[in-house]
Amino acid sequence: MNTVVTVKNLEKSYNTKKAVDKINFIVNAGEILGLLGPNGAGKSTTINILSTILSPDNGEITILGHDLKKDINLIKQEIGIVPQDIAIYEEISTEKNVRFFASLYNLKGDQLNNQVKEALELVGLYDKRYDKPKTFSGGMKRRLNIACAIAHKPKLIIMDEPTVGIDPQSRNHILESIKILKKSGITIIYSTHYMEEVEEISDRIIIMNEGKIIAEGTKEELKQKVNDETTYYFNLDNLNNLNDKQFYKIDGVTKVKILKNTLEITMENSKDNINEIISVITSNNCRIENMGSKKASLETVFLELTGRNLRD
Amino acid sequence: MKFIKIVTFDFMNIVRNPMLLIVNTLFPLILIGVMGFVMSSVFGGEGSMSFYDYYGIKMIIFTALLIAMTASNTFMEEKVKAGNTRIIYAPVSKTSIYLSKLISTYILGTISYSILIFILQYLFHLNFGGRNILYIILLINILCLFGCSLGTLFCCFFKCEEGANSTMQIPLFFFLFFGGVIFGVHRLGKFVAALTNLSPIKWVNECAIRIMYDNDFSIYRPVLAFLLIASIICIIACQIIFKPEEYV
Repeated sequence: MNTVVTVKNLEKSYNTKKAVDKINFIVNAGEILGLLGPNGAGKSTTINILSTILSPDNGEITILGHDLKKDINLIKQEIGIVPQDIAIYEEISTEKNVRFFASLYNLKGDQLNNQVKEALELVGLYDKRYDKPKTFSGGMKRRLNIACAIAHKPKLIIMDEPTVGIDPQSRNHILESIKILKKSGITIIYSTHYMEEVEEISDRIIIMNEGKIIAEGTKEELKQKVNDETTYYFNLDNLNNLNDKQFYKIDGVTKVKILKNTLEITMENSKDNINEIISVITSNNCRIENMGSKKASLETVFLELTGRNLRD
Repeated sequence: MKFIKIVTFDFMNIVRNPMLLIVNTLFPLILIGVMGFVMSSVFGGEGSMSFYDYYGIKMIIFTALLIAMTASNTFMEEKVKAGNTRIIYAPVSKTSIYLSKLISTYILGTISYSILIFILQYLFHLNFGGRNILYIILLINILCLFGCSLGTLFCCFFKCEEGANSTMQIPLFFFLFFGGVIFGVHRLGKFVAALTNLSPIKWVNECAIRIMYDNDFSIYRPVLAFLLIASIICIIACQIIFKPEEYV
């Protein structure tokens, strides 16, 4: 598999604070790499460096075979950036926006016309091409923000939270557009706060915290990291007689939570003592109305690794 | 080629902004009309130089310097700043980014003030040097370039329109007040008279009056040279100060 981006020992500091601390990663051709991390994790700094607008303090970066230090314009020509803040002109028509930005990538004539049309069709704004973005909803503006980044047909697209603060319909549209881009062979780096988006579209995920990469892999690989335990929940008719100490006596139980109508017990996967738990429940004259288990999600992986929720 | 595209696009963005268009076209005309009318009514209008002539050149100088505000608007006004950000991601040099704003504003100023001066001399019969009108136009255009360079420099330095405009008002006020655009401040004493020499506007004003009424070109070249050198210094400072990542 070809490597589109190689990052080695990347470092960037602001005054004395290290925003990015010796990170290494690669992005393979045709994949969607999800970049996750709470605020201040170093995602935006990394993205700004890859977008060529921020110089790293140290490290080597190769994008599409070009050295970031030497060939900035060659890299810029082949990448598309979807910044977090919507970067469009509100007072001119949708088509003129896309046309102007695409023309900065040496497109002209029929090629320019066709690629502008394709970009607008992909994001579902072709019918609105004569409308000014100032009349658009937030979601439509975000879609135009993407169209402006893809009209020149970049080989690598870097998206920094492209769906922040928009309606579900527009979000779905954007996610579908991204899947279409991936199918056409484009490599995408996708930074977001929304775990469900990463789960839906990413082939691989990098989790950053405090300037470092703390985990990397496919979603299955990441879940495996915290999959040593399973949490069982029991909806009971009466929890008054239950005492958490009774459950802690069972081998493998690591956590017990007695909630209003629910009992939650976390147990090591290697010690499958579910029968003993049920015995304790029934011996206390409690009737199980419902029960189930919770698998590790990316949210729990993230919480486990960083000690923080993603939106903290 | 890309640079020309960006300049054209920036120019169209200025033209689409009614406020910027009015400030650089109708506003000088209104200013000259009002000042000329008010002063003529108060002091009378007899003599070789009417109040309309007097305020004609002064108000054109005034607005030509104030184009610095238009330059900062072209660069960082809320409505265009977001779109301008995307240019930073495109394969264009950082020089093209700030220089395109400067040049597009300068083109607007050049076209606008040249037409205005022609209209004022040949339609409203104000004195702009008679057959020396082209020298006056060149002088105003170079002053306009200085104004655009100053406005762009303040944007590069303060990174936002609000900060740039509010701070830029201080030197602009100094230049205009001590340049004697509203009234001859040199009459306020020797110290103030000495201060007026520090204002480039005083020399532009003096130069224009000498050409218009005495056919005297003795300070024409030095004034043009000063304005050009000051503009170049501003542009070099922009090149040093402007960092695209701070714009994002």
